[in-house]
Order: sequence, then structure tokens, then C-alpha cells
Amino acid sequence: MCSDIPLVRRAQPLLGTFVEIAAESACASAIDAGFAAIRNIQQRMSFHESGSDLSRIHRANAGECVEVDRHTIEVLRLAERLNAATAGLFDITTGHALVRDGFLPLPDGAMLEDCDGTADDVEIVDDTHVRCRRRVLIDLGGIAKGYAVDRAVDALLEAGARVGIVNAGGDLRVFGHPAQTVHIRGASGGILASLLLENAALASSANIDTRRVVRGRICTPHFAPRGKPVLIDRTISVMAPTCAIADAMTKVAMTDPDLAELLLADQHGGIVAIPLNAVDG
Amino acid sequence: MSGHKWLLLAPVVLVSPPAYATTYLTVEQAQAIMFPRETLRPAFRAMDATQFAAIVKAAGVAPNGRQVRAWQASGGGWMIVDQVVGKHEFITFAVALDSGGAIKSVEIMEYRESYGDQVRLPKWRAQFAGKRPGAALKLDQDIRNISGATLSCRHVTDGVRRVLATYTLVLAH
Repeated sequence: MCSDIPLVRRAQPLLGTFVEIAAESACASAIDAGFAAIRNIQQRMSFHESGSDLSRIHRANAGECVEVDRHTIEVLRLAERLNAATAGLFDITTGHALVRDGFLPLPDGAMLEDCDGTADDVEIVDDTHVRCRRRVLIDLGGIAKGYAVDRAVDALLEAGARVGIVNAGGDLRVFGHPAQTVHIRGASGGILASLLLENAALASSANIDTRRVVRGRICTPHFAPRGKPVLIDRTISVMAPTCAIADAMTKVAMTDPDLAELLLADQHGGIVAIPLNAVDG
Repeated sequence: MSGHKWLLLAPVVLVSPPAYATTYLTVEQAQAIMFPRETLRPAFRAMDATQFAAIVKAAGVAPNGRQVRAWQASGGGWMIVDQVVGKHEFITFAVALDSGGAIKSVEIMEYRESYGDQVRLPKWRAQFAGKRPGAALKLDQDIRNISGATLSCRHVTDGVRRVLATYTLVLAH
């Protein structure tokens, strides 16, 4: 039975968006642990913060071994597996193109033409070290938010919470019983679909609002093979057991929904079928 | 631990609300979370024109008004409540500063969104064509747990920067 059980809810501005955490009122203090976990991932994987692991990787010379947090390595490993499983469609080294097209700022001291390394150039040395054969610009925006949500859920469970939700700007994961109602919202602000979720994650992606025109071409932060921009008019939503996978797979689903469905089926996930009469955009 | 499950719910006829509102924290609740076991004393101030201009220069954003809603904590820190107004959103937030003026945390107190101007657009209205008026309305406040394109918190980040400048220029003396 679905019900809106009374949860204590808080929200903080983190990860560039609003992160909402809810847990049963008896475990309200666990919410602090959840936000701390989010902050930790933000500090490690922010493209913008100069002290982040990511920034230190960007500043390293080609071939230089960089010590990073275990979580950073775990995300890089996940990205590597997804890159292989999607034949390169999921690619964190799109940082180069994102900077080129103005979606991300060039890190201090970097020359864009020097940082043209690809996913193959990222070498994970061990659980705390990474080395890039050529300099790269890595953007973890397609996966770090989901990963942060998963770590927050871990922290909440460890702190004793038994039911709740972590929602980072629309990348969300519910845990515990009973199942919770979640809604998918389209670009116009209206609800397109509602689902009952139990111990599962949901992530959504759209790029109507994130398009730029660069030298006469429409650019988006999402790239298909051969670097062509992905233009979609609809919101794509993906369910998966973890938010990192859901987050990453929305990017794949935007370009190749069949491949995404195949990979998600292995994970007992899937693309959400938005009712056809739901108006989006 | 149970496995994961989901179920697509039968479409609810929503007069898709042109506004969402969530109140997360009252002032008292924010105080209890940000300064547990401390007492907070109201220390509201009104800034003068010079201070106003100085804040604009330091933060790059103008204050909403002259009043600074601030409380001083018994441990020496400060809690300041402020608002930001975006194109569609109105957000009240609290900033906790330690006794040195550094940010301890930021909590959203109230979040309100309004897409009122979209209601007039033909495409938005078309989704309700043929539906009986008054059928199954869901209240704005009941809609939680939303997934959609990510909203930026840039407005709040700007607001926090403004609060820091306000602390330095108005409260820290």
C-alpha cells in the first residue's frame, strides 16, 4: 500500500542544485549525516572547486600519478565500465567539448588544446591513485550527483534511518518501506507521470533549457557519437537500483534508448514510459 | 534488504498546479538545527544607504530591502534569514555563521515555485482539453518527490554571498 508516511524533510543548496533529504521523524538527526555525505562528494568531484580531486587531476601533467579519494576512484571505475558497456557513448572526458562550447569554464592554468585526452587515457592505478597518459578534462556531472545520492542514502541507513528519500535536483533514491510516490515533471512544470518506488532510484534528463548557439551551431551538454549534439524535446527518466546508474543512464538513454533499455534490464531497471498525451516542453 | 520495485501509477488528473510550495523549516526549527543547545537573541538591523551600496558592490547583488533579519547565538555565531526571488521561484533560506563570520551551513526554509504565466500558453492548456473540470485536483503541497530537469541553486548561492557581505558590513561591528 502506498502512503505518504510522515517524514522530516530538509533541503540545502548543494551540487549546484537543491538537495532534499527526508527520513522518519524519529531519525531526524540522521539527515545531518546525509548532507555531510553529499558535501564530501561535492568537495571531491566538483569541476569548479580548485581543491577538488578533479581539479588536481586536471592540473597534473601527462603521466603524473595523482592521489585521490577512494570515492573518486570508485566513480572513475564506474565511468570506465559504463564507457566500455556503451561503446564510448558514456564518456566523462567530454569536459573538453563542454569547455570548448562554453558549458564549463576552463580551469585556471589550463590550455584547452593541451587537454585533449580521451577516456582511454585515464588509467586507474589503484584504489587511491589515477594517472592520465594525456591531459584530460573530466566532467563528472553525468554521474557524480547520482553517486552522491547513493552515499547519502548509505549514511542515512548507517545513522539508523529506516525510510526516507534523497533527492538531488531530481536525481532521487527512495529507501525503506513503504514504497513512496514520486513524480516526473516536464519542462513546462507540469507533472507527466507518477510512480510508486521502493528501494529504487529515478533520474531525469532533458536539454531544452541547456542549449547554446556557438558559431551558428546549436550545442547541448549532451553528445552523441562523433560529437554531434543530442537534441531531444522530451524528458527522459530512468529507474535503476542505484542513483549513480540512473543518473549515468539518462545520458545514454537520450541518444540510444534501446541500448539503455538493454543495459538497464540487466540491472532490473528501465526507461520510464511517459504517457503519450502528457505534454512536455 | 528488500529488492527494488516500481509501479507506474494510473495517471492522476491534475490541474497541473501552476505553483508548488514546500515549507521545510520555521525560524525556530532552523535555529534548533543550526545552533543546537544554544539560545538565539534577535538582532535585527536596518542598513543605511551606504551599507546597501557597499553590499551591492561586494556581493554583486542588491539586498531585498533595508532590514537584516539576524539572530545572535549564545555561542557567538549568527543566523541570518534572507530571500531570493527568481523567474519562477521564491526561496527563503537561513545562513548559520560561526563567531568568526564563516559559513557553518545553509538551510532552505521555504521553497515556492510559480509557473502562473505558463497557464495561458495553448500547449499547456491543451493537456487538459476534454477533462472534466474539478476532477481529482491534487493540492500543490501534496506533490513531493519530483524528478525532472535539474534546477540551479545559483540564486541562493548569490543570496548567501549577499548575506556574507551583509554580515561583514552591517553586523560584525
